Amino acid sequence: MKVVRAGIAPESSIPRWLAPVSDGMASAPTIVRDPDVEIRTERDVPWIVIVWNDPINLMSYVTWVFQKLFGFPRATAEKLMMDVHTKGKAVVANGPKERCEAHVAALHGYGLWATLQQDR
Amino acid sequence: MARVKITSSYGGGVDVDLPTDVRDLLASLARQLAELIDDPEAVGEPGLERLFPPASIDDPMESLGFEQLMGDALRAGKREAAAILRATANATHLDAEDTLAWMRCINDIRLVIGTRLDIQEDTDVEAMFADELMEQAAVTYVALTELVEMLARAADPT
Repeated sequence: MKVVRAGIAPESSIPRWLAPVSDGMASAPTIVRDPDVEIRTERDVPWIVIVWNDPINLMSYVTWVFQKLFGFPRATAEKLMMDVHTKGKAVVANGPKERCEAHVAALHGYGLWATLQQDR
Repeated sequence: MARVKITSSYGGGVDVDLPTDVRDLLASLARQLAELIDDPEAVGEPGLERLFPPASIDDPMESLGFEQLMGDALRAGKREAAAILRATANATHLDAEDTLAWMRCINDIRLVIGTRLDIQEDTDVEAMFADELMEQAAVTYVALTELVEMLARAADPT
């Protein structure tokens, strides 16, 4: 005589994803996304500030602004300015997003073409 | 430009020796810049857009967030620099703060005029002097370029 316990479905009909982890189903297809980990990783990617070359701002003025805003020695400011001029852009600062936003705002205040992005 | 001299002075400022017509021009352009910044009809105009570029190269939401966060302060800063340039247009000595305002405002005016003239790396601005429609803007642009160059040389950035 076949005994079927009332109310409990046979093992085989239980969807696999409801099976207890301890029964050897640990390898069941699971892409466990821990949202906290995801966000934390995203936040850990540092931000950078990029100054782009433009045909109007003068080399002397851009150098001056780099010295003024970032306190760079003249030689450092000139090297960065030349990077902007010859390579089309240069990274002038990095750090937390809030600080990079403040740098971009200061650079826009001086009329330089600056953007921020995560450094991937 | 006749009799244009900008020299380093004490305390991070500069001494400026400029003809009256150049001073009048600067005051007038500073007023026009302030008007442009607050002109609702100028929204989207390339010259004005150049003063407030997007903060992200490829993320419009990032740029929008930045505009919401910083836009008011940026406009206020440019308005203030224009007000200082107007107020000190006839001064012979500029303190460090005035000097900064002159540099920022004159450069902003260059950006607007230069953008409207579609200045590129290889543009021969002086060739525009021959064009009736562009002559005045081109002459002004060249004069302002010389002023910014002189200010950057004379002012102490430290």
